Amino acid sequence: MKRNVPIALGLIIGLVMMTTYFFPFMDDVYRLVLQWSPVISGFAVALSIVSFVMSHWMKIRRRSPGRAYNMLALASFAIMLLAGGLRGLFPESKMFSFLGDIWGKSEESPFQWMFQNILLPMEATVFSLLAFYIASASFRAFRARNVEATLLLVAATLVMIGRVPLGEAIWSGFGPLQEWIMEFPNTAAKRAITIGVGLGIAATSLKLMLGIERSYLGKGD
Amino acid sequence: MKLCLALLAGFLLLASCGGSPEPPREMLAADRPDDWGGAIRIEWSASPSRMLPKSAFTGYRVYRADRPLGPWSLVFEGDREAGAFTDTGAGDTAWYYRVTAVVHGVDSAPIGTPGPVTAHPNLKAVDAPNDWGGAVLLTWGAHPSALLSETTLRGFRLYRAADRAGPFEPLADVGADKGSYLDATAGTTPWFYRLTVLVDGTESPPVDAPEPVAALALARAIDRPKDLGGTIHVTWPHYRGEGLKAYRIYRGPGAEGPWRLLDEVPPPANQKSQPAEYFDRNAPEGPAFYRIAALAGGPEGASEVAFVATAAPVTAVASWFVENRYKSLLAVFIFTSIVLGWVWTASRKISAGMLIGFVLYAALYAVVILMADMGLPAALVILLLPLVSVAIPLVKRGGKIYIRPIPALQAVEEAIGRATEMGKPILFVPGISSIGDIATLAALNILSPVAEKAAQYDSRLIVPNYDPIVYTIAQEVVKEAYLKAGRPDAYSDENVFFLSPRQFAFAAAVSGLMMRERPATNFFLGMFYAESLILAETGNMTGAIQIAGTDAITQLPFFIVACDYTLIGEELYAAGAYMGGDPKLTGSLKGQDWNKALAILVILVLTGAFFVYGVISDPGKWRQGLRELPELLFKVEAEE
Repeated sequence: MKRNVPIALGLIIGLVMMTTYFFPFMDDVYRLVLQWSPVISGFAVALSIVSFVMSHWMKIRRRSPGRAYNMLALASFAIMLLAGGLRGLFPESKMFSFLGDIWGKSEESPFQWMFQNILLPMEATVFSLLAFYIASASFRAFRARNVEATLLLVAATLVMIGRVPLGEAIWSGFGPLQEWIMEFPNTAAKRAITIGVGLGIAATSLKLMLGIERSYLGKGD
Repeated sequence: MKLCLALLAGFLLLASCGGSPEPPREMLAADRPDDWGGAIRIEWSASPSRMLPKSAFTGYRVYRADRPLGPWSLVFEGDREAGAFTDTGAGDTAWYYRVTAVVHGVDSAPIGTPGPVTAHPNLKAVDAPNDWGGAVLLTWGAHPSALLSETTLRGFRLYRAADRAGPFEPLADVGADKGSYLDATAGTTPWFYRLTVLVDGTESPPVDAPEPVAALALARAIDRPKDLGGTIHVTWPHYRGEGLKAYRIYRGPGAEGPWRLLDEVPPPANQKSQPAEYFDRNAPEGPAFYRIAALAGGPEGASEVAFVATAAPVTAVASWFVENRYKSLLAVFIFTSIVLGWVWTASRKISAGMLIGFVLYAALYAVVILMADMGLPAALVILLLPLVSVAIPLVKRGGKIYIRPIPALQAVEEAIGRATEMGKPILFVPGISSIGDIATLAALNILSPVAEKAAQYDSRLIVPNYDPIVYTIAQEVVKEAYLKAGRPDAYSDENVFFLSPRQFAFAAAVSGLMMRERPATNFFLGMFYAESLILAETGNMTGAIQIAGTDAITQLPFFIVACDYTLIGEELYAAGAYMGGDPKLTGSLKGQDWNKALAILVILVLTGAFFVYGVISDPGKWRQGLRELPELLFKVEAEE
């Protein structure tokens, strides 16, 4: 029962959702099913918050190394929760307008301010690390250890040179050559992967619908 | 004899002089066409009394009255040659007319009109003939004021209204020398037209066209049948004028707009064989009108010279079955048949459910084929091919199935064993997408055997999560795997946890985790975006053995260069089958591979067929294409 009911539900919902693609009059059913998704998400978010708090709390309690980070994570969570949650619960409260006045930016809540000025810059910082990681990964990948790696090195060098003004200045053919590499061999390979991915997605969906693949439900028959 | 002749002549003379005068035999009174109104033309045939001498028969008299019995007033007196008269003083009164012949100053008996005649102001509005529709031609006759000097008569002002009671809106001012105007913006509305004369800065009383007139609507718009809705097919006759550059397609909620420009399309190269048409693929849900403008002109520029519009609104509605998707449906059936065929091949028994499923499947498939309405031979081929592929494995079941080895999956056990030997944890990241992503489900399918092996080897498995729903499912999967391995006590909720739903916060947290915990093995499986390289490079720096897999093509190069093994695209979906060892899963994998082989075969055959067809049908074009191939491939621009 524990296995068969979810599989049966998956089969029915899967067939219905697939059918809506061919029969537009079932579009309402499709939208209805999609509307259920946020309801499930709501419960999952609550569980996630519990997981987050417990995970950090246990590390603090056990005095694990680096527990200062856990404290910081919990403190940040609490501050953002207070800043955003309480205002959402009591939007008309005079306390928040008072805080807004103190803040000096009545049009911008403390929550928004922290989001814009703390979280986003930190995310941008992490994102910017990507440039350095690309350089280090390229350095490692472009070593001509074998035929494939050498091909990769040659193709990447041509593309890099063709995409900078210096390459055009050296030889006008670099630009068209890199375009050709990107447009034909590269696109052909990408399309081959895309076709394979499409077939893989279809096969996995079929397996999930028919209950052939049930690992995600927990192993066993 | 002489006496007889004298008597006859005397008789004739007496008859001619002494008989009563006779009126004209026929007469006609009608509003004069193409004039300004107020004029009625009266015509009559000659009176039999014209045979009399000039001294006796002097001419005709025309009378008019506003009532059938008079009183009659004389409006014209003409000589004996007169045959017509125009009563320019008729105004807008309904007049009765009568004509008499005058003999010796005495009126004959009259001949009159049977009914009253009114001089209508003759502003005429008609659908412009031989045009493209959408235009009304207005004509009017010479106004009495035309006799005035140019400095006095300024011109004419035209108005129009959708209702006889108005309000009338000014349409155009035209010069005094004009007697017609083409209203090219008439659309399909029946308009009431009005004309005034501008004399010395003042405007005369208006003259109305007697009836409303609508321009013929020649464009046709229909909802495209058997589609998803939202598409309207508009057709119209070709514009036959000179200098046609393009058609502009407009759409509006009403017959009078407001019009929104949708597109500008060139006319077909061959107007005789190709229709002028347009598919509006973003049609609104409500009714819509369409208007097409012909853009024509010379080298100095083009302008909209003529219009055609739809007469009735059209609404795009969704059909119950989308016809142009039946090919997709057939592809689904073919694909499903091959996969199911191999799944059943790999199965070691045939259950009643399988047979019932097969019958239902075949019936449903046959219904789809019938709906596609493709003709019997094609239907039979498309029906039989997949069904045979299902049926054969049902008979020859239970065989051993070979699947090609995938190094990344063969390395999984080795990677877990390495972590065990080193006494370090295993990190498993199931991507940063939702559970609705098949790649995430594939990752969770791999998580199960990985967790089972970790439990068997007593290695610590860390699963940080990005999505709340994925987190709850991952927790269940790991818990079940530990249970199946007989090590439920080794499972801890602390190792499967939720981190952050923010992409780079998650990347930073996992990177920190790798730096602190130093896992010996990292799995990055599922859907990844820009954080893929951050994770993989950090893992590489910690010296962990890394196995990655994603179907995100843009992230694959990052994983390939930074990880030891990478599952490319579909290999991610195959992993569950490899590691699970379930014959059905293995069969489905084989079916998937066969489908891929079929797709390759179809692509090659069709490409070859089109190539051969192109060479045979037009060798000259093929040779030209061959000559242009280097330029096409390299796009080398000609040097100046």
